[in-house]
Amino acid sequence: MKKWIVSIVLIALITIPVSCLAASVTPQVFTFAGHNDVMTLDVSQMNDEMSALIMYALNESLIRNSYNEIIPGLAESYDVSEDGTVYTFHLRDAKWSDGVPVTAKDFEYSFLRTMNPETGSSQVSEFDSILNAQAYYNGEITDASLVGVKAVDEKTLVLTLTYNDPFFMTEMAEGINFYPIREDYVEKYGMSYASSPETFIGCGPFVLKEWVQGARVTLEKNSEYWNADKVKLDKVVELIIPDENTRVGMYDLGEIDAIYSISKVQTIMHPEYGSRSGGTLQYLAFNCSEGLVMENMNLRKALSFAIDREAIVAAISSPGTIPVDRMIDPSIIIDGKSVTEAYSNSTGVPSSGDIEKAKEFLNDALSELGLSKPSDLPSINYVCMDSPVHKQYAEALQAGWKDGLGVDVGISILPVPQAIGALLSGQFDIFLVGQSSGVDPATIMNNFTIGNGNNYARWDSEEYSNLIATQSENPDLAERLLQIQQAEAIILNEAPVAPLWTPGTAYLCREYVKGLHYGRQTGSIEFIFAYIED
Amino acid sequence: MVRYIFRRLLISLLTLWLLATITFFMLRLLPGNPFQTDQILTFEMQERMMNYYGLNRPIIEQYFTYMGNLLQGNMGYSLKYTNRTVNSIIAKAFPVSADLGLRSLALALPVGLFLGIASARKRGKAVDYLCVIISVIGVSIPSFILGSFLQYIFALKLRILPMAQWTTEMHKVLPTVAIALGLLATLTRIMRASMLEVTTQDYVKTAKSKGLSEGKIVWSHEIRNALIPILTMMGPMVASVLMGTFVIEKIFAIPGLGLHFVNSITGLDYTMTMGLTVFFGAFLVTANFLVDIAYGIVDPRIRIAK
Amino acid sequence: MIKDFAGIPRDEFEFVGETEEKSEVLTRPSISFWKDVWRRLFKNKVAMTGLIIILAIALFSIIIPELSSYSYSQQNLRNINAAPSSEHWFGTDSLGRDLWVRIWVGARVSLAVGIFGSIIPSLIGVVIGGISGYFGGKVDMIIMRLIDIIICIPQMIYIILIMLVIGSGPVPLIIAFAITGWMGSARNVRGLILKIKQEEFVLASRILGAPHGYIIFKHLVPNTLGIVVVSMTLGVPAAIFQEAYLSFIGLGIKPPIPSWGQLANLGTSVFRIFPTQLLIPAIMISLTMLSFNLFGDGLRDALDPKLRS
Repeated sequence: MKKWIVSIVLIALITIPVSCLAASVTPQVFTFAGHNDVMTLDVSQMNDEMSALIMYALNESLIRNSYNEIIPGLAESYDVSEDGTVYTFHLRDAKWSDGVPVTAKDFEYSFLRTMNPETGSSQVSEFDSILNAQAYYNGEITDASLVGVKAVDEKTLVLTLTYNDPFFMTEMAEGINFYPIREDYVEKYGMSYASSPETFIGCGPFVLKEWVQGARVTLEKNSEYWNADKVKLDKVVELIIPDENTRVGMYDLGEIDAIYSISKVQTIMHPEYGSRSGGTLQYLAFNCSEGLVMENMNLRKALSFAIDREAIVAAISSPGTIPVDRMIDPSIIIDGKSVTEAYSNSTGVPSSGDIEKAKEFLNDALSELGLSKPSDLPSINYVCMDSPVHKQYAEALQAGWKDGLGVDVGISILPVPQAIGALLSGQFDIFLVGQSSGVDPATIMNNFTIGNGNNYARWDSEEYSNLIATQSENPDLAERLLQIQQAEAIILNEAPVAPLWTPGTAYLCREYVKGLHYGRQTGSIEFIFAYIED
Repeated sequence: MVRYIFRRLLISLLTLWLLATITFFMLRLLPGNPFQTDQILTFEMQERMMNYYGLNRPIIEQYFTYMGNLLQGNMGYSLKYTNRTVNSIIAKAFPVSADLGLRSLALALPVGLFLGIASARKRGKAVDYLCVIISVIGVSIPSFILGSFLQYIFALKLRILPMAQWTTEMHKVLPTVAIALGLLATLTRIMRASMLEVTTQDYVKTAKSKGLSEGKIVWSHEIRNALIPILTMMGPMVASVLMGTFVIEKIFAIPGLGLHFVNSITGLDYTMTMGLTVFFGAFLVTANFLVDIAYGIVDPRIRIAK
Repeated sequence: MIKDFAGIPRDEFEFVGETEEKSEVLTRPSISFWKDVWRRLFKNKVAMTGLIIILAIALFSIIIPELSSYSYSQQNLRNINAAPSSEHWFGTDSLGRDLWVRIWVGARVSLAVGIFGSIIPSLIGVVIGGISGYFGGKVDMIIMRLIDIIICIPQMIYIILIMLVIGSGPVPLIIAFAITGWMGSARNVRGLILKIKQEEFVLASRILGAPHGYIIFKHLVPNTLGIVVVSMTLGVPAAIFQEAYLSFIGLGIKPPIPSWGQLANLGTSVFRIFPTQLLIPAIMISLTMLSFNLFGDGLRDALDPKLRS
């Protein structure tokens, strides 16, 4: 009898821990769905979300943007010179996934390659603050050694800026083209570089295992990564599913763990969605060119005041979208403080609109134009990009202006490239623009200066342009922010643009997925510290 | 006969050339710039890109450069998938679309033809009505709606088939059926009408009066002749099915040509669109060419008349 | 001498008499071709059902939007995605627009595009095919070669490109269909004309010196009319389908003007949550296509001389 009991206890003592161990080993595989294929993994050419997303996992830059904080990446540390124009980065001992050490030369090669006119990159303006970068990529100088990117030795990279740019580090952290490139791979594969697992190499937390074009991207943990111990996921799989209903269906069936972004309507059946916001500002650009109907400031204000931003956001926008009355993104933080809180300004438009005020402006506009009723106004052309949410916005705005003010606005829906063509060539009266708000509060405001190619509103204000020019060169951050505030007051008052809202994005993710981080900028999901919980 | 083939060949090549030329110029007529995406580029940057790709050169020069490359089988690099050649993208996506297309045809052809024959022979009876109902419904429900429904019922609700992607055999069932049903319906209708037409012809009556067996009449005379109108539509039908149907591929996440096609047109990826159009055109031309040859073999009147 | 016949004795037979008048009597009333066609068509219940449905839809599409208190573009952002109710018979869409009105305005657009998108290419085809078949020779050869070439150009590609160049909406869509869809009709008509040309009555007319116009209108047109009308009718569902497809992929009719294809497109994105928004336009599309198919089939059967009873 005793023998039996002993045996049973012994067996239990052995099997129970073992089976617990076995049971607790959940496969560390994260599967998610994206809506588009990766366009390219060539660091110099990358300019879309999906490619950036995968690149975050495959590669690493000098620094990393983690939870909106800058942490060391491939650079262990860095020093900044007294005048703030010279940054010296000290690289750690890290390896590419084939064991070859990462050197400063890899960074130098990459940055110069992107700026090189022969490469044909559209991302060259990311390097604008670097000394002689613009001259180089515009072809004014051909000697690359004049550009402020130097690999002083194997582990030291020196970046020289044109001026003391307080936002340089954050911009580099949020940028998608600051990764190193292996020269020998480019030499070997030429134009086909980075188009398949064989032709690409990275030094990030994951390796590109498989890329079935149009269908699936599989990443595996990179054992050569310098921080491999912290990486818990063994495998990341991205399935490319273009149709949203299908994506959500697969999520429901448990075939995928997360969906990168979902449209508003899907949140109804999935109240467990998450949302992230900030990073983009959407506003209406009015074409203020001489002789056009939108030249009239009161008309512009009438239209802006008539918009019920709250209702539109509630009905159409994804969760996380916030109506705004500023041209500075409220999510921009400097030194721990929100810029918009520290420096106040407003268009004066309440988030649900003010129809009475709008009508006053409209009447002023009509009398200025010598007209008696809204229907006397010349035709107003709202050019809309052919994408589902933009179309809904356009229709909602059109209906709002019609019902509230009696103003008829005609909508032209054009495919994206055509719509943008119309924007750039001034063939529109109203256009809904969405721009990244970056780290510099004046990012979007910088566009509206005289002669600027991005001044979509074609608005000429000397005072404003001067203020903008002054602040961009100003090394004193506090003074700079004050000047930005002054400039903003002007643009909000004259309303060549009407700020609308900062879009948010809804996404779906199972609760057993932990440690995923969605950054402020679109495309920035980091899998590096993620893991699957039991 | 040889002359006939030769002339058809010549015409086919001429057609291809014309197709490429018209598409080339039409694409350049499209307003908008291929380099503008959601992240709006400045005008200077846009022009920089245009110059880099040679898109600001005189259009005639671009045309000859492109045609020269095309003759060597080089369709250039995609403007959007910057490091991939159009050839490689098509080479990867086409087999998928072709697989889907062939499966649908393999399903639709025998079933459709059989139903058409059966319903014609049993005209006015229950079988006929049933076939007609199925086929009319089949041509009246758009394939994309059908696809959504099938996916919803079989994948989501009943969970007996996978939702999307193109990996295992089970994955391939729903998209194939969605496309095949529409094809089947069309084939049934045409075959039925054709059979009915043929049955009343004199030569059939002659064969009957000669005392030929039922089977021989049906096979040698009726079906073979009824197939001729089907042949006419086979060319375009095969070509279009093989090129992938955009909506089915989108719904079922199938990495075929259909998706590339619509995306490249709306995104103004010139090289990709040209490549796809020329490729598709070549298919259509070849299909028509083969059908013409088949015609020449089957119907001696045509050979002689030409 | 008349012998016994089949075992029945000769005297059981009575001679009825054969007179000239009697032998000339027609055993059935003379009906013109067209009257016969109508008669048979009316008797075809299935085809008639199709026709009635079509007329009903057309009628509703004209009347209902005029009667409704909502306009097709009127939004109500506080009442989005509502289910069918007494207030909104078909519910509302994602911008709070009344779906009942939108379906019937969409009917106008889809029917117009479907009908004109079939008739116009057919007519163009008839003219070109007619010229080709009638005049024959070199003219015929050139036109047929041209068609051979153009027919190889993928239609969908060209519709898309044309729409992108001339813009979107019902009229550009019809134009695009007209430019890309006339070839089939042309070939058919040409073949038909070639056949009729060889008929004896045409030959006779020509020998008698009838001018071209006479031959065309008196002989060719009546004989081809039936086939052309049938193919026009059966071409409508195809045009409706193409419009639905193009709008579905975002290229056909642009908002806020609704069309069934566009409504189906908007409905698919919310299908799992608000199924009616897809089901209703889908049913309308299918029902209309079905009705035209049934009616067209009936028309074709009615025109088939072999079925004359």
